[in-house]
This record gives sequence, C-alpha cells and structure tokens, in this order.
Amino acid sequence: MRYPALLTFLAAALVIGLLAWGRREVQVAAPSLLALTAPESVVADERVTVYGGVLVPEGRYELGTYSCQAGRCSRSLWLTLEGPQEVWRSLGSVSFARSGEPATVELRAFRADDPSGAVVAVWTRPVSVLPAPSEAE
Amino acid sequence: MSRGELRTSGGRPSRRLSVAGALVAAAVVLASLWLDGRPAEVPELQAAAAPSPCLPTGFLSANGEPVPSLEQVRMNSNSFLRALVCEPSVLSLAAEGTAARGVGARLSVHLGSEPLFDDPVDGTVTLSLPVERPGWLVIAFNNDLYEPPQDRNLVLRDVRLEPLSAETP
Repeated sequence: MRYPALLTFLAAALVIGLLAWGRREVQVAAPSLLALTAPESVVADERVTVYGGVLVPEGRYELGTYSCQAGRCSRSLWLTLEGPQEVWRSLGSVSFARSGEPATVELRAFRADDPSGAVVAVWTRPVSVLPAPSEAE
Repeated sequence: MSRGELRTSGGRPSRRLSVAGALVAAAVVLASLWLDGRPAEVPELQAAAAPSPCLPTGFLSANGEPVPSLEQVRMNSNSFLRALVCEPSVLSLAAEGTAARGVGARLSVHLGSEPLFDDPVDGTVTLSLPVERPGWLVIAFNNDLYEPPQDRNLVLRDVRLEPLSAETP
C-alpha cells in the first residue's frame, strides 16, 4: 500500500462517476410531447380541457396535469401509461380562480416503478388569467 | 532492537491501509450524500422528433378515425382533430362559436405545443394560419359549458390544410 492518497482519490472518483452516471440514466428516459393544447390565457373560472399527444418510451410512467397559482397547485389528471406507445387524449383540464395573478400550467411525468416518486420531466408554461366578463364590468 | 524494528516495519502498512479504507468509506458516504441531497434539476418534457419518413395523415378525430367531412365539423362538446403536417402549409377554416357566461367557445390551434390561435369565438371568424414546420397540428374546442339557455358550442367550416408548395406554379 504505497500510495493510499492516490487509491482514495481513484476510489472516490469511481464512486462519484458511477452515481452520477446512474442519475443521468434515470433522467434520459421520459415521455416526449407530440402536441399539447395548453392555453396561454384564460378567463378566471373558465375550465379549459388540455388535449395532447404523448410518446411513451419503454416502461411504466405516470402523468399529472396541474393548475398552479399563488403557490398552490391543483391536479386534474393522474394517468398511468405503459410504453412503448403513442397516446392521444384529454390530459385533464385547468382552471384559475384569481385574475391578474401569476399562474402556470404544468405537466409532470413520473416513473411509475420509482418508489421515490421523482419527477423525470416537467412541462411548465405561464398563463395569463383575465377577469371574467362580469368581473370586468 | 530487532524486535522493535520488526514491530515498526510490520505496523505501518496496516495502519496506512486502515487510513486509506476509512478515507474511501468517508468519500463514498460524502459522495452519496452530495449526489442525493443536491436539488435535482428536472429536465423539460421534450417535443418528440418528427417521424421519418413523414407521411401526412389528413385530419383524424379524437378516436384516431379519419374525419368524414371537413366541410362542416360540429363540436357540441369538448373535442379535437389532429393532422400530421410534413411540409410548410397553410391552414384555413371558418369557425362559428356561441358564448356562455359571456365567454365564447374557445378555438385552440396548436402546432406541437406552440399556439397558432387560441381565443374564445363568439360569432364567426375566418382564419388563414401559416404552419411553418412539420409536426402534429391540433384543432380543439376545449371550454364547453351548458347552462340553459346558454350553450357554448363550436362549428368549423371548410377546414383546409394546403402545402405551400401546391401554391407555387
């Protein structure tokens, strides 16, 4: 054992490399979007259905659609998909109560067989919430 | 003296080995904590690549069947049409919408996740929208509401998707 420092360094580098590689592999496999009709602006309390096409790779995935405003998100879809397949369907609906406040639509994909429930990919876009006609008058 | 030398020369390598082992174990624990504890950056859900070869599908209804007639598509509840576009094209249509709670029937036209038109329609609009790249085109009515006597509905007329190359002589 003539070079303990070198051995330590090599072992640590190997461990870090392997763990980082493992995390990278988990992040690569995720569903991808063929299309998504998420709105850019809605009227307060208008309920808008989001349609989409999703390409699901090999494996079991879960999809959730969320309306987020004022630090809270409400989920309107929870869907388990088994890949590989192409899915076209309603991906839930979004609705926002308060006009003028920042809001987002989110689509989150999870690996169904991952006990940690980690999100593997997310799609987020801001939404302008306009006052309802009765509110605007 | 010789016993002492023997003790010295026999003890140092095993101590070094222990120190090295402890350092490796500490490195493993620290690396695990660092990698697991670091806030993970979640990648964005990516757009799927255009199919190759790209074969235009024509307009399909929500269940994947070809739309029988594009002269008039009546949408009395939330629904969508889709078509795979393989070259730059122009989408033209007329839409007639009715309002409920003061909000018209929302017509959403998206290429992938990019909105080309996304507005409530109360009355009639005529659209001619450039579709500049290949991808899936979706036309949706997505804010249906029925509160008698108010009823949000959408009717599409003369839906046409024509490649720009068809216009050049």
